[in-house]
Amino acid sequence: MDTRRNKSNNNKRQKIRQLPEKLAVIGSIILLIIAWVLGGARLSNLETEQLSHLLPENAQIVTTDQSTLKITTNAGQDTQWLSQGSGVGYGGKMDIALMIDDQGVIKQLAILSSRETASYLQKIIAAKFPEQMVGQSINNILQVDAISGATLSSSAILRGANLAAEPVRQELMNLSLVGSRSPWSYFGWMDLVALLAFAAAWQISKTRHPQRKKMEWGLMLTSLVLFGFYASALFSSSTLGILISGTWISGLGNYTPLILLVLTVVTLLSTNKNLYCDMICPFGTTQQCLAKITNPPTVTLKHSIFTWLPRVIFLAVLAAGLYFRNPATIAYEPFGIMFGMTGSIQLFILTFVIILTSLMIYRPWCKTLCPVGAMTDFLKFIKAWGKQGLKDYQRKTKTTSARPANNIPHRSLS
Amino acid sequence: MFPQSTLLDPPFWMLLGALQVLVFAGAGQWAKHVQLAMNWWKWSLVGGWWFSLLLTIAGAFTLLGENEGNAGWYFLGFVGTGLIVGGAILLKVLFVLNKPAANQS
Amino acid sequence: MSNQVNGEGAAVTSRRNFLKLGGLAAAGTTIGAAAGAGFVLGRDPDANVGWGRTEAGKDMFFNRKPFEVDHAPTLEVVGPIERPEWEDYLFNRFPVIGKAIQDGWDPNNGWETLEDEQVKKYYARHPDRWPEMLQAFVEQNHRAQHREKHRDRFALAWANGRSWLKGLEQSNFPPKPVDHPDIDDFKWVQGEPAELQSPAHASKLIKKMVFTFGASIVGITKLDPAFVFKNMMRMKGGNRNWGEDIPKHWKNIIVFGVPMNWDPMYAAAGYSTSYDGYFRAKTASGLLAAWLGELGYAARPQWPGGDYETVLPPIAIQAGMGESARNGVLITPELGPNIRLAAVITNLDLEPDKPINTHVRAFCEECKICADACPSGSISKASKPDSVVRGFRKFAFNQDSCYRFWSTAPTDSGKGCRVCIAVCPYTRKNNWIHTIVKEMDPRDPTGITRKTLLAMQHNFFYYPEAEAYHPDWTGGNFAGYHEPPEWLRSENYLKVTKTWEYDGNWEGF
Repeated sequence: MDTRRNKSNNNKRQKIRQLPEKLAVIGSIILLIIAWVLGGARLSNLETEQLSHLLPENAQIVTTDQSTLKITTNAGQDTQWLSQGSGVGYGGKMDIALMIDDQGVIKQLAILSSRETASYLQKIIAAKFPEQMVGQSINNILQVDAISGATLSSSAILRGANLAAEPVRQELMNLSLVGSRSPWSYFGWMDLVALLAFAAAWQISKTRHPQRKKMEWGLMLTSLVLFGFYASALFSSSTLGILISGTWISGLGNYTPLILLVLTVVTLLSTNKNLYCDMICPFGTTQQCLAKITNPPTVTLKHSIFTWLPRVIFLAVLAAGLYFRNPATIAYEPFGIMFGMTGSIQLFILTFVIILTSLMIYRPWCKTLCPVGAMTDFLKFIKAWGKQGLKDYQRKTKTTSARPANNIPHRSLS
Repeated sequence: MFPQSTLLDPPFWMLLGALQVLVFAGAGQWAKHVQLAMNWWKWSLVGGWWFSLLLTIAGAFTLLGENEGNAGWYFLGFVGTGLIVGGAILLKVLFVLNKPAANQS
Repeated sequence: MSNQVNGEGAAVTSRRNFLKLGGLAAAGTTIGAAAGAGFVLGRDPDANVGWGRTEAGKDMFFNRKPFEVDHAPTLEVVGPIERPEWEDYLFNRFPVIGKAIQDGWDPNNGWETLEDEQVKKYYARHPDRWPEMLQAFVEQNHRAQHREKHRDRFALAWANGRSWLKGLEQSNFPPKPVDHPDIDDFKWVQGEPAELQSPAHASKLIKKMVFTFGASIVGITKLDPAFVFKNMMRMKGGNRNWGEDIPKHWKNIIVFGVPMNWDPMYAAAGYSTSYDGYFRAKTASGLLAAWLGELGYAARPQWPGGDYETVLPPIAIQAGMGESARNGVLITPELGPNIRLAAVITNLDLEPDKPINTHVRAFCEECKICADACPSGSISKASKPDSVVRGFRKFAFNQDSCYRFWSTAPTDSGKGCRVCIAVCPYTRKNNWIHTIVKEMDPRDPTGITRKTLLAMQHNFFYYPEAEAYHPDWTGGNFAGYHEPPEWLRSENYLKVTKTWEYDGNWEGF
């Protein structure tokens, strides 16, 4: 990794003058903005449409209380409630609608909107998670066991359903069972561990301690267990989508991937060091462990397609996520299969191909499709470009400015 | 291999058994070639690995044979990958353990 | 070590090279052979229990001795034991309601207005099941309207089912009882009872005979009144006023079963039939009754579809054949729930078998695959048994909604579904992978085997959605757990145009 950085620094001047890269940077930013602007109204349209499907024929809406509708059918004989609530899952807010009869029994449940990764949502639906709430009475807190491997999404649906039931519960039974929940409650101890892991990585990267290699491995294995097998909290293209689309403001079921991503970006921009890939990424560690067995050669793929293909895929996924206001829908990384047994058959095959190639090539995923590589290149390029621009500007205005030329942080020039 | 056949099945399994002698004789030669100081417990590890690999492949294909396609491929994918990684580890261990022994001889 | 080698001649080197390359080639061949042999073993019809090793008694290959217990864990008594009532049996209720509708009674008036007191009593206990029963009549009509459109697709499957049904209905063997049991059960008795050396000898011989007569699994137990219907006695002129008497000569019961043919069963509902199992179980019950008569003993055969005075699954559990499953049927180690029961009640002194504990309940509590697959949602999804039936703790089961789907299912008789049997992880053929597992799991006190198996079962296997098992006229696509076997696909043999796709598990290529 170090050699790569030095090399890129040596070529920096030459690189940043390259027009295609500059155009690509501007083009991708414009593309993402366009995707965001064009996608705007889509989600809310879909939501009202789905809601109208739930309404029975000849229904008359009696009262409207924000998200709860009292409906009568058969000329006012049957009363039902159509109520909405939302929970917070992996990708952000999920809206749930319930149809409840006058006995307080749930007749129907619909997921109006979701920002969950498609394969996780499918897992929940295949496991009949929502159906298990149909038929339950709302006089108790709704209880269904979460689907393992998709805990965040299942608890978001459960929470949404309970919140949707709450106003009806108050109306029908004069009961109040659900307490409010502050966004802070979504932060957990894993988020603290993420901060500590970065602090440790930062220290290790600076130290000249003779045991440095051992410390590195210690950190890598710790995060393999914690961020990988325990929490499955690796960040992916979805996380970057969540970050730039802003869905995280209204709450996230799990902030750890986002925190890892932000810390990666911050350290990358401030120090040029990619601490995440080197010492924290559980999938990187997995590949490195496999490489430890066979000591495979590091293969550098020279052809430009290997540089540009992952960037194009990454950009397409991000743009699609922004357009559909659903940045986590598509996941093409093998992380879900590796650490959670969740994903499509194609991802399953990809995961095993990567694991087996890791025995023959050093870190094959990092060298080919990993979006973090593309993101790193992008950020480094922008940083270098910006710095060069600043320099040029300062050189031009040197005569008029009293500022010394070395106001650029020294370490970034090294 | 030849279900419901009275004549073909026994020779097939005898032949396959005989073939295993060749497999291990060949493996012995390879072990000498790369100078692995093999002994009884190393051989039993290698044999165990080979047996597990065969059972995994046969098991996966049995599932395919009884029309459990999905299950067969997933089983092969998961257990097979585990075994290949395990085999690589085993090989590494054999090479590492070999060093002091090779110095002595 | 290497020094010795260097001194040798060229012949040794070439022998070495031969071994090196030959060893690699042999390893490659072995891997290929493992794959090929594995595939063929999966295809092997010898694995179809009940259709090959029956006479030798080797369908019953699981050694039950180590698992014998005094009380069956799935027959846990938690309340006062009640005997089953006439109206508890769906096929007693259903014709009564059907007849009432035919005679002009309007079902929309509700079950309260039915004339039959016993049927009313049942729906007073289970009012939520009444709409399901009514819907079953509606679905029968739907099926009748839509069925013919799909004859091309199901021609061979329906012909297969109908053939077994003919065998079941047209043959008069064993004959239906017509007289009082004190007479009828002795109708084949020839002279004085032959004396057997001991009850143990009697049991051993009877089991051998049951295998010879074509049954796969057998067990013997004392007849427990808890599982004898009240007011049900087959005899001429109706049986609904029999009362609570149990004939004195009903001492022991020999219960046995056969599997339904495996490949059609896996393709439930449309391609499967229960009639093959019924026919063979019924025939065996007649043969055993005749044999007992020849030796001078009373015999009262019980056979499917509806010729019973007893509830056979719990009796089979008492006789150590297996345990009770989530879906309410009997699970045996060899056949899973793919078993069709018949029995013979006799006055012969027999040594009873003991019930077994192979931890089926723990398995069912975690598995839930049948409940998720059930096209009518009749099977409880609770984590612990959530119902008490006549004093015994069980998983809740809605027989009326189950029957509603029978009436919906794309069979031409509209009798049966069998999806919960097909998807059950215990319903596996007798090939090496499943038999290893069936031997391992009950011996593992830690439950690790069970958890590993279920993890694989839930993640690796393909299950169609519950709705997909429905026919197209109720929103499904005629899915099955497996695609139908080659010999039930009409496009392979008949002059028909295939206009359909199959949904289910297949070879995977």
